[in-house]
Amino acid sequence: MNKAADILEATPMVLGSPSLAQIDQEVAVPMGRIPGPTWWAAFALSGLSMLMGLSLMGYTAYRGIGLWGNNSPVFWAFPIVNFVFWIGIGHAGTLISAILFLFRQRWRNAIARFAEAMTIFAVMTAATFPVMHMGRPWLAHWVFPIPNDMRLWVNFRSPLVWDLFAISTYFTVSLMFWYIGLIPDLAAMRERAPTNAHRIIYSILSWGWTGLNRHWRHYERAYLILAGLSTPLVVSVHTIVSFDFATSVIPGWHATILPPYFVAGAVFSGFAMVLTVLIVVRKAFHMEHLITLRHLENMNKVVLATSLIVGYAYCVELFTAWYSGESIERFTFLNRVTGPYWWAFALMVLCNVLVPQVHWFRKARTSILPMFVVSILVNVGMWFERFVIVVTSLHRDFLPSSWGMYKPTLVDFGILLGSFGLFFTLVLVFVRFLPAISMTEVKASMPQAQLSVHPEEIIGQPEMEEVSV
Amino acid sequence: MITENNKIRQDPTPMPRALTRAALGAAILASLLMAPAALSNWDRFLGNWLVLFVFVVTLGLGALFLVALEFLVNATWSVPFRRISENLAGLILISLPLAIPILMGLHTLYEWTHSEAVSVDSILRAKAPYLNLRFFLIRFALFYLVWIGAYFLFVGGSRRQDSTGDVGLTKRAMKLAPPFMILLAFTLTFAAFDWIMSLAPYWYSSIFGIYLLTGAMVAGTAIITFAGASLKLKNLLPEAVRSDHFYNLGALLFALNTLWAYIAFAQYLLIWYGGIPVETHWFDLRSQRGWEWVSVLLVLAHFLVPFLALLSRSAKTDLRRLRWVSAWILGAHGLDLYWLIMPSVRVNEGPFGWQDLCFPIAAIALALSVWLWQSARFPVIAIRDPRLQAGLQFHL
Amino acid sequence: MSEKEPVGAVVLFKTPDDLVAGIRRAQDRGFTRLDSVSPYPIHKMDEVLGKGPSRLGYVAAIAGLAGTTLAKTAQWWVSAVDYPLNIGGNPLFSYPAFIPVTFELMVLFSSLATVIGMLVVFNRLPQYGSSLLKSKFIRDLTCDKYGLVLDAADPKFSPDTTRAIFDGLETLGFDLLYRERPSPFFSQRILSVPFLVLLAGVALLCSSATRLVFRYGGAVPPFNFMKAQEKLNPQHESNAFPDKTGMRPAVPGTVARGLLPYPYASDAEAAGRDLVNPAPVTTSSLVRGRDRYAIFCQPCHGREADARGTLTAAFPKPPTLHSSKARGWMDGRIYAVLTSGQNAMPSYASQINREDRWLIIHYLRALQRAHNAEERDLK
Repeated sequence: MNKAADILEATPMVLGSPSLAQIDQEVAVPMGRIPGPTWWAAFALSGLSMLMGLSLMGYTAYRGIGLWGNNSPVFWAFPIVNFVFWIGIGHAGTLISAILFLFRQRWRNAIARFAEAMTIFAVMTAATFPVMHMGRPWLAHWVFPIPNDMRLWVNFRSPLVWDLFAISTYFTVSLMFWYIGLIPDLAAMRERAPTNAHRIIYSILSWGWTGLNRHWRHYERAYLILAGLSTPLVVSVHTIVSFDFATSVIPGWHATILPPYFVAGAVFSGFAMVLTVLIVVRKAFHMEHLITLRHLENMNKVVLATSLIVGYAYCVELFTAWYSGESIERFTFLNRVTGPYWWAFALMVLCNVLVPQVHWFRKARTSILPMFVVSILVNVGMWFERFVIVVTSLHRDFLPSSWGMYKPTLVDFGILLGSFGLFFTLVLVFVRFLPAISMTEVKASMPQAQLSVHPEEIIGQPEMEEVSV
Repeated sequence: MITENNKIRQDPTPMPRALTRAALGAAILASLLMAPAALSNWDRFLGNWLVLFVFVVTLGLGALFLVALEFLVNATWSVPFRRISENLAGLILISLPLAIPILMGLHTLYEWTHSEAVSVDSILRAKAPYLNLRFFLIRFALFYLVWIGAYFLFVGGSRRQDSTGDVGLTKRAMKLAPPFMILLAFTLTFAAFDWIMSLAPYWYSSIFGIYLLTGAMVAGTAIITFAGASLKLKNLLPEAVRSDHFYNLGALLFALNTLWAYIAFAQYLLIWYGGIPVETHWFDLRSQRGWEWVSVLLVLAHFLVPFLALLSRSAKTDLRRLRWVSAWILGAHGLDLYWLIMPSVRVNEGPFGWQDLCFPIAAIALALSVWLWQSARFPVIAIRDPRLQAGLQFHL
Repeated sequence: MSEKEPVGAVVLFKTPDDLVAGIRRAQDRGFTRLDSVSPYPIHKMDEVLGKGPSRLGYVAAIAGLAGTTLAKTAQWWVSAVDYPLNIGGNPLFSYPAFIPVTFELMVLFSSLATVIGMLVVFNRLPQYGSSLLKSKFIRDLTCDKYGLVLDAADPKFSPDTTRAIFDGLETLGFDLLYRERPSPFFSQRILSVPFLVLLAGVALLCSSATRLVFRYGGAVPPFNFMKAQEKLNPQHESNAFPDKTGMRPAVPGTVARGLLPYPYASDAEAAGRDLVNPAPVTTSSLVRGRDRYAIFCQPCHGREADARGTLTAAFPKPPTLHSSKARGWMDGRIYAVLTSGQNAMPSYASQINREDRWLIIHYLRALQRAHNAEERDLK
């Protein structure tokens, strides 16, 4: 187990003590060279999948929701499951970049940029589902409270409207947070630009950033404020998503524990997805000394912790349903465990609660293959968790005469697969064109990067005036 | 361990006399008021006693939680404060004798203990496999087994480390922290269900355990902050414990308090929105007969005031502000428990009678006494913790 | 390289500590306009330069407050004032339900204000014309070196002698900064003419695209807003039929719903012979018959079927129904009169259904018996 040294000394976050310039070079490597066959193969695969998904979505818009499996009594099925799944995945990014920043966990610096980008792409992927499942997606603008000639407004008491505000705010804030984090890196890229075209593009995107302390002052404060705002924001977004279910009276949905349970589940699946992608990326671009085993181990610890929280929530839900004494509540959960969808429930418990327990062992936490397998299984399990929640509660609710089974169609599966294609295509494009690791933040946390003078010695200086150069 | 400008006392730091006087005075006052309160309205007295009991338990567990948290995430900034948390975790020990009147008064407090009432009611019968006296007492014993066991493992180990300096004790605590957190979550959840939720046996809320958990975490952090800030103001902590440390403590307090508010709001919104009478009845009780003012007061006092008071960066390093805000939060936590428990115990009475006065005073007396008792035996800082130096040198 | 006045200078350093030493040197020599340049923020550099914390926090707080207020007000106005709807019995100003949106808008406004405030207002970016961007050190400054920037406006600055100030310190270089003529497209001010023209162009493009899409795109399936549907609308032509008419006459042999054959339209006597009153004679049927009579028959025939109705002034007076002729008619004969009409009396088939006609006839019989009562009726 841990040696005494582990307790007393912090393991370095960057292995090999590269110089600051070396960090720039290593991070910029994937962007500089022409992508190799691996990238192209991956891009082709995900691109094809994305195209398939998008065309199936277009086909659905043309022909209607009848192409899907949504029917009485399971009116809300794959689309909402996929939506919650993808939004949940997005939450890890904000947690890593905002919450870990507030807790001053420096190890987050190397993975924050990537995680935030994943958040943005996950939210984009997720947002396609509510739009698609509207039936007439070209009227999607009706969800906004814009004055119209029908003199109608949206229903602000509806969780679906809250969802709209939450998702769009989350997307906007995450995008801005990610973008302002990029600006200093884009300035560095601007100076290393190989061609004039590159230079112009990076120049525009970096807003003429130079690195004056006058700019850093406000920049840091803005970063802190955004991190402080993003933290409650990310909790509120998945809470509001949980309200979609919990504000109803359907047994199995109407449980007060849903908000924190969903948030913990989102962090859980998000971290698993970040792990899945980072394990591949760090290997492909030889960034193992920047995204070290320590980063991965820490993320695995978060996966274990959230797995336990999710397990706690399962137990409490089951207990409360029994405790309520109401036959319908008790039946709903009995049906989950032993009814026609028992296999989904079993898969969910296996993948979410049992499998991640291997991470109690340090060997599993620091070995690539076990953690990779666990991360994939966790995402499978989390998808099935949403499936279990949505489908089992709907397919057998109050009136036995209304009971039925849910049959997803090929179009449903195709769109689900296509959503993965969309997500991974965006990730691949991001990795190719933008620095996947925040050079600025990693450099700032290197041991040689900060002043060695004692802070108490330099207070009380006269205020310098602004330079205008 | 001792450096030139970082002299740390090796023996227990004597506490100011005023503290002893305050504890004594509060104890006397509380005892004087308790007898008439008990005689005038026994049911109300028992309900208040339950509030006091849960208050003490949540404070002690909250303090123990902070201890375990430090080992769980390997934090260094909190090491200088850990002994304060450990001392205050002694409240768990005190809570056990406090439970005696409650265990004797279970019939008065809990409807489900009346077998005649249960036998005619289908819902109560359905819950009887869980809500019965024997199982209740077994669970009670189990909770305390876990809590007291954890207390001696963590706190005892840390105190032993003062004399032996054994790094293995820290490693043991780090290994025990994760399972303890899991056990704490489950035990406090079911304690919340047993002691508070079952006061209204028809009502249920799956988030209730988490509600009490976050309340305990806030209360624990608040009392640590109060103690830490008070000690620093009286120069009883080493100089190296600076604004950087208190900033983190204040930020933790802020975050946990906001978390509590979020949990409370989520519970309220979902029950309000669903509109199911079995669930809303509980809130109905708290929106009539004067309790509606307490509900509003709870929102203002437990959320709004601490939120605004701790929002700015400078607020979290201002020791005086930390002191009054944490004391305020402790009062708000007491109000929270009062609001949770009393309307279900005394369904037809309004809030705030003179019989309730002795209990906040008793709580203060108990907390001060435990502090004085423990801090007289051990140094105010874990002097030979292997991470103490790193903790003292912590910079934001 | 034009012979222009330099606007400042930049000194390059290898480590942050060297940079601070350089700053101290400049401060000691009386410089008051200077700044540092680094590829990442250096902690405590604000203190070295005597700067207090940024005031961006206030911007965020005020914007957040504005967002909260706007959200609460807008939701209140929409839900309680402009178009109040009873949703689930909740109060019109359902404050718990309004909290999520309020919170989100608070965060959104606060974040937008922070970012725009930081970039545009406080940092005055984008600034593509900065002379630092033209310096030969800029590449290193964004990578791994540190710079001290001096402003020519500082009274202590002199292009020739300032370099010597840093003698004895560990420096990597000294460079004078010159400002080039600002390019018309990358000017410093955000409200420059080319930028405004660009904005106007974008606005024009967006609004015309929107207009075109909504005006013409609405007709393109499936975006036709369900205006053009393939179903047949009444009184429209249709290409499915040779005569192009959408409305079709009934097919020969069509039976109207609820049709019962009534062959007595021209032969009332046959009706009297063949039809039998199927309605039972009970109190309720007589009561209903009386009610129906009062509605339909009374205006002309009068309350007691003696032709003293209210319309007798304007309409031809019907014969009294208490004549021996009327009393002698079979029920079916009277039924035929009600169904097909007789003389001035129109057909009541469309107003009184079959069952009610029989009930009226029962009532009529009761009236007739009442007017022609025999002694045995008095018992």
